[in-house]
Amino acid sequence: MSLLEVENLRVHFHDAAPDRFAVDGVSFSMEEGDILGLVGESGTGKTVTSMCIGGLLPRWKADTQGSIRLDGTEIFDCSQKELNEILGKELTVVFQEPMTSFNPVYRIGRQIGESLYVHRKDLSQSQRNELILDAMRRAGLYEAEEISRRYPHELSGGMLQRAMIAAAIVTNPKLLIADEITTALDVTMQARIIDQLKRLNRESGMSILFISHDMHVVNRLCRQVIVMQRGRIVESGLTKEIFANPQHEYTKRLIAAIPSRYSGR
Amino acid sequence: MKNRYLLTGGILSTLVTSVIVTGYFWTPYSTTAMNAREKMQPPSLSHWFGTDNFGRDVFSRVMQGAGCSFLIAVLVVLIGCFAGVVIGSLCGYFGGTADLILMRICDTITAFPAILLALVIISIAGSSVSNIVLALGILFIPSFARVVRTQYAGIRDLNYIKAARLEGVSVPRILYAHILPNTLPVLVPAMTIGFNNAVLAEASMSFLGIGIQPPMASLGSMLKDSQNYLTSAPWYALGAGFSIVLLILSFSLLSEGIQVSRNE
Repeated sequence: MSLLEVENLRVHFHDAAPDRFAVDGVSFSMEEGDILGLVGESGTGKTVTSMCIGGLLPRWKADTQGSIRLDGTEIFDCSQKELNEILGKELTVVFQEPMTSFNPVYRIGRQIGESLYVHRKDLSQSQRNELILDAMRRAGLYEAEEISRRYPHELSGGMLQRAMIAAAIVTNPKLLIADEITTALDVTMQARIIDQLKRLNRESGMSILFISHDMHVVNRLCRQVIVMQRGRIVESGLTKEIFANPQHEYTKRLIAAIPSRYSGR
Repeated sequence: MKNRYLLTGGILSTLVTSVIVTGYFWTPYSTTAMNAREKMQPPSLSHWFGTDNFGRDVFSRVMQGAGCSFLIAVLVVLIGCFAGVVIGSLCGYFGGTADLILMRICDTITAFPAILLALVIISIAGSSVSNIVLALGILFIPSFARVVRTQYAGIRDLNYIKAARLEGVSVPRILYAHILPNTLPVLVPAMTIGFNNAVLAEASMSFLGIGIQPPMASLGSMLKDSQNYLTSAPWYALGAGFSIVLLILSFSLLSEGIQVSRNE
């Protein structure tokens, strides 16, 4: 059984035209321990897909059809309470805006530990602290104790992004959804975050659904890739093969958009 | 850094609070015992604010009256704030039809003059301190509910709340552990303004004779009684009026000072 199975997912926003679907019949599956890239330009439904997986699309805003199974559990059939059990424990999500993703009134360490507080009430405060510091180090924040006492406004975007990753891995989830997490960062920081994600995947077998519009980053990180355009999957397969031999016109354009040392000559 | 608001506000409110707290346990003279020989004495060393038409020490009565106003105002703000936070947070976070209806009810209450509504409630329920607190408390709910609702409606869509939801945090915890602390910069000033309004409202009600009943001292009823002696014993009116002003001014300055120091 696959870890994540998305079948014929369709999303229609109530304020959109009747025939306009934000996500239009998307199906894919992910094995445990896999890193899957989901690429496409802005507005192709990548984030909407990830929001559906997290059960975050409110019913009054959009209609959803199809099926999403995480580890055999149908997300669309879950009550909010059942969903809260899964979120933060089995499945965690990291967003693209690290600067606004932390509550300004609490220290970083406490916020990283929030999902532990919610899901692991059996742990003592000191055990939780150990896990928090460990997660921070695994996410590449090596001065963990020092940083955990800081407030969000005292840290840089790159540090906050790593703190977000720390918050997402502190409960050792099965699946991490990383939604455009490298987009706002400079190239050096991108490379470090990618290395950290790769290491996390290798060391703890965590599956990662990596959403991006940057083919270069996807190429470095993901074994498999799905290319989306206007709510539909236009191409999918092993990253190597797609890069070597892109079939769809849109994929070719995306690959051509990677800045290269030799382009323009 | 020189924060004059904080300094003056701090000194004044400490002074006022200590006088009020002392007044709960001890006053220089009895607040109710009448003394025909000491009637209408001007301010002197033995009677700082003079005496009233029954020969009672105005300063002692101001101490007790201010204490009463203070206690009522604090309770009113606590009731209004608690209910306002509960209503405002639910309305702001969930929105929808219930939000619409509750906010229109709030509008209706606000559209009515508060004193008039309090008068209605008091005349139905009878005049007692607990009824005054309850009536004013209910009337103060909308002002808090509206402020809190606006804050919640704005903060619920921010990324850190989305992130908390994605960590499986339950709704009550999101409402009161994640969002509530972020509303404090708005809620605290609302509370101090509410406190001032509550002091004024209690004083107005007592002035109109529906608030604290004699022989208990109240700043409002003292003002009312002193009206008749405005020319012969101006210190009576001044003592009561001055203490209302001082009570409100000190806490306004304090809250202003806190806000200024936050922004620095």
